Amino acid sequence: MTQKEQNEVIAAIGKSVAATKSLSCSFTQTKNLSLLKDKMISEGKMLYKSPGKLRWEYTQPYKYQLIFNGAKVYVANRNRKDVIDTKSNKIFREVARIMMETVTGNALSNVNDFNKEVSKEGSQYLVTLFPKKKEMKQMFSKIVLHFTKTGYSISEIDLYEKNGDRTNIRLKNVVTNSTINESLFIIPK
Amino acid sequence: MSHFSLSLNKLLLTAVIFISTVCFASAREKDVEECFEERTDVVIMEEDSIQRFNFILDMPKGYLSGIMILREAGDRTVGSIVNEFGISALDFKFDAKRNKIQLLNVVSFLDKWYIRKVLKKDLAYTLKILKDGKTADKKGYEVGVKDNIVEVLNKRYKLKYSFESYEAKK
Repeated sequence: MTQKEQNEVIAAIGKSVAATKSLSCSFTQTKNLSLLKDKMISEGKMLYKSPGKLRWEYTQPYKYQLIFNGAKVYVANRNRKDVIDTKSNKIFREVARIMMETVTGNALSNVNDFNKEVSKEGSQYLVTLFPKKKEMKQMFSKIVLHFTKTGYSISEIDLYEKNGDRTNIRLKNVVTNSTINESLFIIPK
Repeated sequence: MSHFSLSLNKLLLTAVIFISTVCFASAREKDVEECFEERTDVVIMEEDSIQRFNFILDMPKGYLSGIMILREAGDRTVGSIVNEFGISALDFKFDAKRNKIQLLNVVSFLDKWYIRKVLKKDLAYTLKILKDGKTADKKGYEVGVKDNIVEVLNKRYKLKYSFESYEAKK
């Protein structure tokens, strides 16, 4: 794709993202373990509500819940429940920001975190993000976001790690701009 | 508490924050390590098995959680510890017969020689227990087994490892 075409796709995705006030979906996460030549598959649900609310929950084969709401993050597994204040924790603040920007596609408009490359594949546009910052470079070699050509909505996320492992997150039953109960984003005390 | 212990706890606390979220990074295997130990490359045979465990490491000021996956072939095991988001924290190879463990692709903030030293010792001891299915007394450790949960306590650093088997396949 030419640079002009790439810019047009980015602009169209940006427009779609700006119009997304809420998003709900289920997802299947497949981690490809290069050393073990095995896959780890987990499933869950994701809810997003603008501005700044995200609930990311694994339901199978383990239970794990992450809720971002404003400056607070709630993390719960089978026997621990923690609330973290991102105002006093730079790492979590960054994680919350990048997760939300990646899930919603806002990462595309952020020129400080990633270099971007757009390509076409079947019925999808693939936007490859190459981390610029040292901390992200240590984690990932690249992140690929898949967007539908019709509607420019996000459908898959691929995380490529430095050790050769790849994690694919496939979003299913995506519903945008529906009413999501506010109580699902409440951070327990 | 010595400076060493405080530093370790501080670094492990940092690890909690990262491993509980998506912030993992891989670091290259240290060349220096190869100078001190022989390689224990695992040959993955056809008739091997895979086991999965819910993994929690409780520390005085925090915890790590995730999944540990083991592929076994005879006395040899390869394993990975990943967080719930699927991001790798640690890969390793273990030779039960020689009681040798090699850490690979260690997440950068855990990739300190003093943390690797503790992790290697604790993991080697724990893997032997998980493999043999029975506890073995060792100075400095306490082991508890209940149902499908194995808990190993490193008494010196107050690190409690918990492994809950949730799947085994051939």
